[in-house]
Amino acid sequence: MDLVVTAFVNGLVTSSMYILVALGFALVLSIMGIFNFAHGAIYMLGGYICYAFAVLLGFNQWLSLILSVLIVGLFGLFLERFCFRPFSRDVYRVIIMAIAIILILETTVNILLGGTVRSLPAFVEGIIKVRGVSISAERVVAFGIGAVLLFGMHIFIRKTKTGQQMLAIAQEPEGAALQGINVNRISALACLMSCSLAAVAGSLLGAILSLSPFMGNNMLVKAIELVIISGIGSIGGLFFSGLLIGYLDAVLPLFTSGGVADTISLCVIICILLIRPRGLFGYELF
Amino acid sequence: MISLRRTAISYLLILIFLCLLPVFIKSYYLLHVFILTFIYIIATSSLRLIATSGQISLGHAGFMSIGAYTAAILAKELGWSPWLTLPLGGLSTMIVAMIVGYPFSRLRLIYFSMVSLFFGIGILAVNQVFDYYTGGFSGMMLIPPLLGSSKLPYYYFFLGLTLLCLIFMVRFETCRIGLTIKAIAQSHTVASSVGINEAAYRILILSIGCFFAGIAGAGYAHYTLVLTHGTFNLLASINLVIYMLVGGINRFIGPVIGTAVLMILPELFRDLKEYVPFVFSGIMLLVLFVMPDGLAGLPGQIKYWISTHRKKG
Amino acid sequence: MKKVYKIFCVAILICIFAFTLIPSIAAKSEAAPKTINIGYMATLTGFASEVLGISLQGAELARDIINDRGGITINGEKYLIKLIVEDTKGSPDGSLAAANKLVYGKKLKFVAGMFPTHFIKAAMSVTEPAGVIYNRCYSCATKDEFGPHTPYSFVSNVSTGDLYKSIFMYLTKNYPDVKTITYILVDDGQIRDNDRIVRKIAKEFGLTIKGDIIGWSPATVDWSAVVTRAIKRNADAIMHGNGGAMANGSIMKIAREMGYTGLIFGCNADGATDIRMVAGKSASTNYFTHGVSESMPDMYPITKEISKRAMARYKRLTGFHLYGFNSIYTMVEAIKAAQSLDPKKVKETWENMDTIETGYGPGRMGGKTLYGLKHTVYHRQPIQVLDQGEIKFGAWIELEELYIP
Repeated sequence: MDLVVTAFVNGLVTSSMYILVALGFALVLSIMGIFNFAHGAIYMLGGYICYAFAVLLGFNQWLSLILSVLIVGLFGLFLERFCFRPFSRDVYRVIIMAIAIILILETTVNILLGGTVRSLPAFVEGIIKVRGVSISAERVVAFGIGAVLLFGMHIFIRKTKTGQQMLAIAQEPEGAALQGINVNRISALACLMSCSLAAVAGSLLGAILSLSPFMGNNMLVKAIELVIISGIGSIGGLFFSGLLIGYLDAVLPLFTSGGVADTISLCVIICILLIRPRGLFGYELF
Repeated sequence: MISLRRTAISYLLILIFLCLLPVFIKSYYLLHVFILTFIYIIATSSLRLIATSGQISLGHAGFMSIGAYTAAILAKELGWSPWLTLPLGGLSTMIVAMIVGYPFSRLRLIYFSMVSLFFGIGILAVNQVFDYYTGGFSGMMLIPPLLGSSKLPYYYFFLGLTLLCLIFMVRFETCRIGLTIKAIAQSHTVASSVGINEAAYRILILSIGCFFAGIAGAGYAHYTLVLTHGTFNLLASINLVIYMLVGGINRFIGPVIGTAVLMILPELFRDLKEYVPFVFSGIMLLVLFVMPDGLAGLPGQIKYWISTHRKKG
Repeated sequence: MKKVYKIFCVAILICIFAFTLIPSIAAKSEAAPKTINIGYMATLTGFASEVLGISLQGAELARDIINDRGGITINGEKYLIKLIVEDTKGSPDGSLAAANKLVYGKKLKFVAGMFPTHFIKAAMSVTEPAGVIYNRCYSCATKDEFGPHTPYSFVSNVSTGDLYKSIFMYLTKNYPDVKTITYILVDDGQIRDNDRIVRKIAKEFGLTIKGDIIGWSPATVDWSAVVTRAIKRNADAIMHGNGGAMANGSIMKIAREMGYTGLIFGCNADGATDIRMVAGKSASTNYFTHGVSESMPDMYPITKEISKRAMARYKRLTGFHLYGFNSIYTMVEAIKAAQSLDPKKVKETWENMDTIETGYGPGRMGGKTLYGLKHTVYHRQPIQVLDQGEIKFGAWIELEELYIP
C-alpha cells in the first residue's frame, strides 16, 4: 500500500480531530480572554453524556449527540455566569477555577461511569476506499463535520453581526461596551458555543477512539498547541496549525519511536513560539 | 516594630513545633507526607520567585525533573555520593535555565507561560528518548539514598534545607536585585527607561529559581529513590502553580501555606478514596470566592471583615 | 454582589463535604474477629483507572472465598482476611503515598496489587527496605522491576516474559505458517528489556520479530501512524503487547479499517472483551489473545467458583479479576504453608514451595532462570479468540508447558 497516500490521508484525519477539539478552546480564549483549561474535561463530559443517552438509555446515536450538545451548552452558560464572569480578566484565578472544574468533572464521571473501558458505537459504519487506501467512514464523517464547523465558525466571526461583536469584545471589552454591545450576553453566547463544540468533539471522538474520564488531558495539550501556534484571535488560523500538528503527529511516528516523535514536534512548536510569539495569524496582545 | 517581633515569635514557635513534631507523630506515613511537603515548598517558593518578575512558569516540574534525573543518573551510574549530586542537580538545572532563559525570557507574560508549558512537556519527551538511562516513561529506581532508609533523618534534613532555601529566597527578594526585578514586573517600559537591562534580570531570576527547583527535584530523587514520568508531568507543573496561587502570590509566605494546606489536607482525608479530589477542589473554590489574596492573605482579610462589620454596627 | 458569592461558596462547601463525608461515615464496618490485614493498592482514580480498578474486585472475591471457607488456620488459631485498600491515584506520587500509608501508617506486613511498572517501582521503594512482602499482579520484565534485588517481591500471575511463551505456543500450534511477526509495544521504558526477552523466546519457537519493536508514546491519541508502519513491514502477523485495551483495541480497529485482514494477536493482560468493545464487532476477527471469560470449558472448581461469584456480583469476568484474585489468594496460600505471619518466614517458605494453589487451578513457583528469583507463580493460561465479532475459547496452555523453573 502506498505510504505517501496513507500518510496524507492519516494526517488529514488527525488534523481534523485536533481542530474539532481546539475550536471551542480558541473561541473562549479569543472572545473572553480566558484560558479555559477545563475545555478537556468538558470535551470528556460531552462524550460521556452522549454515551449515557446512546448506550445506557438506548436513544438514537445522532439524537444523543444533539442532546449532549444541548446539555453541555447549557453547562457552558452556567460556567460563564458563575465561574468565569466574576473573574473575567484575572488570569490567576481563572486557572484555579478551571482546575477545580476539571477535578470535579473528572471525579464525578469517574465515580459514576468510570472503572471500566467504555466505547461509543460508531456513528457511521463502513469503510471507504480512496486510491487504494481504505479509511473508516466515521473518520471521514468526523473530518467532514470538523471542516464544516471550522468554516462555519470562521464565516460567523467575520461576517455576522454577532461575530463582529465578539471580535470587538476580544479586542477591547470596554470600548465594545461603550458601543452598546452587551458584553455579558455575548460572552455567554461564546461560552455556550465553545462548550457545544467541545461536546461535538467529545461525542465524535468518543466513538472513534474510546472513552476515559481522563481523556481530556491529552487533548487539552493538543488544543493548546494548536491555538498558540495559530495565534490568539484567529479562528481560521486553526486550519493551518491543525494541519501542521496533525501531520507531525501522523507522519513522525512512521519513522521514529514515540519519544523522538514527541520531542521533534515539541521543538517545532517551541521554535515557532520563540520566533513569532503571537502565532501565525493572531494579533499582538501587548 | 511590635508587629515584627510578633511575626518573629510566631515563626519561631512554628519552627519549634515542626522540630518536635516527629516526637508526637508515631506514624512514619505522616512523616513521609511532611517530607514531601518540605520538598514541594522549596519548589513552589522558587516558582513564586520567578513569578515576581512577571513570568509564570507552567513547566516548573520539568525543571525539577532535570535536577532529579541528573542527580539520580550521576549517583546511580557513576556512583557519586548523593551529597555531591544534590547540589549538582540544582546546578545543572540552573545551567539549562540560563541556556533556555535567553530565548524564553524575551517573551512576555502569557507567551512565556506557554513556552514554559511546552518546555515542561518537552523535557519529558527527551527523557523518553534517552530511556536507557532514565527508564523512559516508567522511570528509574534504586537511586542511592541520601541518608539511609529510616525516615527520621530525612525529616530534619529537609526541614533544615527548606529553611535554608526559604531564607535565601526571602533575602534575595528584599535585596537590591530582587527589588529591581519587581520593578521590572510592574512596568517594564519605565524600568528600561531608567537603564535597567530587563532581559538580564529576567534570565537571572529564572536561573536562580530553577536552581532551587533542581535542588527540590534532586532531593525528591534521593529521598523517594524512584523517579517516573508521572512525577514531573504537566499535571505536576499545574499543581505547583495551584499551590502557589491558592496560597497567595502576593506574599512570600503564600506558597508555603498553599503547599502545606493542599498537600497535607487531602492526605488526612485519604480514607475517602475516590472522593479526595473533591476536598482539593473544595479548598480551591473556597479560596477563589472568599479569599482573593489567597490563604496567606487570610489574616488581613479577617481584619478587614471585622473592621467593616464594626463600621456597620 | 459579594453576598451572593459568599452564599454560593458556602453552599458549594456544604455540598462537597456532605458528598465526601456521608459515604465515609456510612462505610464504617465492624472489625472481624482475628484478622490478617492485607494491604491492597488499587488504582481507583487517575491514569488507567478504568482498566486497573477491576483488579480490586478480584481481590475482594479472593477475600470472600477464603473467609467463606472459614478463613485459614495458623498454629491452631483461625484467621479471617481483611483487605485494607489504598488508592494509588493513578500517579507515582500516589502509589508512593499509598505504599507509605499501608506500610508505615497501618503497619501492614503483606501488601498486594497494581500494574504499571512505574507505580510498582514507587511502591517497591517502600516495601523492600521495610521487609514487607509485596505480591504484585503483574510484572513488565524491566530489569529494575524484579530480580534478586527485590527479595520481598512476588509476582502472582504469569507475566510478560512468560506470556510470550504461552502465546507463541498457541501461535505455532494453530497457525504454523506464521514465521515473522511485527511487534507493537508501548514505549514506556519496557521496550529495551522486552526486546531481549521476546526475541530469545521467539527463536526457541522458530519465529522472528521482523525489524525493531514499534513503540508508541503513552501520550498517543491516534494510532494510525503506528498501524501504518506495522502493516508496511509486511510480516506474517502483527502482535501487540501491553498498552491497555484502549490502545490495543484501537490498533486492531484501525488495522482492519485500513484493509489489513491478516492475523493480529495480543500478548498482554487486556482480554478479548474489552478489546472487542473498543475495536467494534466488525473489526474483531482473526485475532487471539490471553483472556478469561465466564464460559471457559474444563475449569477447575476454584475457577468455577470465582466465575460464579463474579458474574453474580459484577456481571462480568475478566483477566483483571483473576490478577487481583491471585495476588491475594497466592499470598494467603503461602502464609498458610508457612504457618506464620512473619514476612521473613513466609518469604522463605514461599520461595521453596514447588506447587501452589491459584485461581486457575494448581500452580507452581518458578522463574529463577528468567529472573534470578523463584518468585513467580505459574498457572495454566487461557487463550481467547475473536472471530467475526464473537468471543470464542481458544485453548488452555497447560501449566506443564508454561512452567520455567
